[in-house]
Amino acid sequence: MSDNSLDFRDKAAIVGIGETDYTRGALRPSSEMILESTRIAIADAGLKNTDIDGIILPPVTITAEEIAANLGIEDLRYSASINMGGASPVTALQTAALAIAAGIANNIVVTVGWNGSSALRPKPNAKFPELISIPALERTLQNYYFPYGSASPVQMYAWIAMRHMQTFGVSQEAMGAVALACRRHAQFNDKATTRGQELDMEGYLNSRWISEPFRLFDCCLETDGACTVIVSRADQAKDLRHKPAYIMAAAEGHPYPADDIANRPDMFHIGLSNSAPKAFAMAGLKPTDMDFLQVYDCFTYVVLLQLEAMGFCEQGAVGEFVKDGTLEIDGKFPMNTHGGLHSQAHVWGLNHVVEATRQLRGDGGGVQVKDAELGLVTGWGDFGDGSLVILRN
Amino acid sequence: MTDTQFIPNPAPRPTNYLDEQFWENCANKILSFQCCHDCETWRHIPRFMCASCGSPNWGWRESHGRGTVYSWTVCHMPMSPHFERDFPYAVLVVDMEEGVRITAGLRDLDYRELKIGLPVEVVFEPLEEGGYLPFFRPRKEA
Repeated sequence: MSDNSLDFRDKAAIVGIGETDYTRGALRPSSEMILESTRIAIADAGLKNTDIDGIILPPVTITAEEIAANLGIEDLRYSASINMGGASPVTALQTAALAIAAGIANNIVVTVGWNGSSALRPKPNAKFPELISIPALERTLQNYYFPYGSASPVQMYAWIAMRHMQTFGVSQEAMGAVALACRRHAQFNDKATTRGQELDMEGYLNSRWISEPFRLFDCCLETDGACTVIVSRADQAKDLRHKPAYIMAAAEGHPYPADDIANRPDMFHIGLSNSAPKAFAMAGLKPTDMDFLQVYDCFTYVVLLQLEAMGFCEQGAVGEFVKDGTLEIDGKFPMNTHGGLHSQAHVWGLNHVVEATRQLRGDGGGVQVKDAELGLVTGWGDFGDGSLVILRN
Repeated sequence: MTDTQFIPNPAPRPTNYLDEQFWENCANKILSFQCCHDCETWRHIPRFMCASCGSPNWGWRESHGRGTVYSWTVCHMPMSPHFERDFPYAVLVVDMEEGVRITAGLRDLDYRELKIGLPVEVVFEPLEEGGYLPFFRPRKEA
């Protein structure tokens, strides 16, 4: 880091968490769900609506201005929109910590919500359709991918996964290990939409192809729901209702070029390959110091790529790394203890941040990681943007 | 697949004149990429500047149309009604001799025979809405 960089290590903490129910086929606007999870998070922190002076969110159906108007915030001191798809929530934590360290804001709402199930499969004649746009990628998609029937992330990330798999001989069972860990943990989570639907390796391997090398159980859920976290000044956080989850370090990263997967000099150099070394250096920690991992799991192989990019193992060795239950609650690095996008809900990975906070409070219930003091959360979005936050209690 | 068969693919939707010219060349069955006038670096997808030297000076150059398979996916579940007549289908990433990569569909090969490094060549197929799309098929000579 250069000498004039703003040091935001340990200057901010997550002090409040809130989630709606996670469903398919919600009958209400995602804006309303975002406000519900925000109300819950503010109350969880022990703050008042008018204590909020910053709002950060990706481009969804509601704006910072509308949230402020609903909450009665007359002096919104800071707002920002993050355009990194599923990496936006973790990047938002970096942005929030910076704004707090700079003294611009004291209590910041970081939120996301969508009708990711019902809006992606809208009913005919829906009165108020909700569409998510991805302006950064639209040109590449419309001109160079979509004409060949590559219209969905599952098909595009498959190019990276297929080459990695072919190059290093990673097994389907390694992908299955991610799916099984998530599904096992989801059985302990009240909000998990797959609770009661256990999965074993045979069931995983027998699931149908979606886009090779991805099967149905390599893919995450589609969810209607919202969640919110409150990020506050560290020096005020300890007086609030819960044990704070301090933001030790955070960084965002983009692959190159970020807007086209095909022309990357190294397809396995993802956004997290850039951000992870920065975040670990800021925290003064290494991957093996972590007590738990919450890794963005839109597709199983995306988790494998991220584990390598963070340095949990050598490139190509991830199949060996994840076997024998490494990622399960009784393994060396329990991952996605809420079930993840794969088995809890797809709320852009902000639900991973909520779960990390719970673990650091000691509120992990049946999947509490013993003596959890340090954990990480990754975000993955668009064509492989990647963010990392390291939290401690 | 014959030259006269309707291809169910959706037409590209250019968002600027670079995309438009790329697809106009394809409509004339010419696969072309941009090449920097100053440092001779080829590039794709089309861009206004050369990322290697920063030059805004460039021209279209015809590709030899030859490359090797860099990666692929096989889509078993069409994500758009356009592809329901056609699945499972493979979408390739092709490493072109010119040093750029292009995404395109596969022709004249069972997708189960795909492997990294497989030599392929371009073949154009007509679009329902007019114009042509480049696909790739195996080539005999490596």
